[in-house]
Amino acid sequence: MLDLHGFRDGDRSYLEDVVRHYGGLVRAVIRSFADGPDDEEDLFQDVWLRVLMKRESYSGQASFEAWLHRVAGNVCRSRSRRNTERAARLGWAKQMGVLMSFHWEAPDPLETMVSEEELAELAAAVQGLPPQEGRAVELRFMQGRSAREIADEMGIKESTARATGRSALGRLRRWRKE
Amino acid sequence: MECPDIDRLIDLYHGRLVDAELERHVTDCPSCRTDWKLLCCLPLVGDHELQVPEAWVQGVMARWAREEGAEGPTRATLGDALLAAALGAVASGATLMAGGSMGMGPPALLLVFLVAPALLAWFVLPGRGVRSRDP
Repeated sequence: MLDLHGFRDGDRSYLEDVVRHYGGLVRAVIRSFADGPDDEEDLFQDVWLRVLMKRESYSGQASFEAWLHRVAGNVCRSRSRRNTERAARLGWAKQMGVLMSFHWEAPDPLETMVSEEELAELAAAVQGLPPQEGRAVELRFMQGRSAREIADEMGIKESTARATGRSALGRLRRWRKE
Repeated sequence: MECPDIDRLIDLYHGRLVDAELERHVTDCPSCRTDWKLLCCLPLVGDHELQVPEAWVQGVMARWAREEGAEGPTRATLGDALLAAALGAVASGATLMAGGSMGMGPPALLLVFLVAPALLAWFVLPGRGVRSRDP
């Protein structure tokens, strides 16, 4: 349980404990965005730097895990989007579209507070998938691999890898309907 | 707009796709929000016990200390101010004595009194007045 006052006060040793304690959650979020171990460490630092610099904006109303999850996702996505935009060398008109969308805030999946119980139910749903679908979900959605990489790893066609992921997601959608 | 293929949603989630129209759709469409929620939550149901190397933790703390130092206000410490005042007084006294012995009148002495210490402090104290907050 996070000590809100300790967190906001910025005591170095306490914050160090926070990074250590919640580091696994951040790693779980960032690893599908990272391009190798060095990049994962860089991303880990980027996320925590944002968290520590913006710690006073955490009100304590939502759970700390939810807030941390959101910050981590936003940092990762922002970085990827910058890279995507840079790489694409878009024309001016398209750039305008990008600029307009730059401040888009992704829907926050945890704004409705996904509880530990619900996450456990989702984990059980993943466990209950047929083995091939379960493996595809792990590679695709947890590790962020491409369909081609999954196909290579599982020894199946790329189209099959896509279809398997789609089928798995279809089953998992029943986990929670809005 | 029709709901996108899951591959496009995955690309959007990972920031590999930037599409304003699609972003608006995902924000508004309940079905896509459910998929988005799945994409966000699935990483959390993987390894619950992901370990973090201690070097990563120390790396974060070192970088935070550097960044905080860079963003901190630049202000003189009391020691810096006292040192500057003492040097200014010594320099002023010396210039007044030197100016008087050279037969300077009051306006010239006043000018020397004001300008000389400032110049001296500027040369002698480069970078002073900025608190170093490096870790």
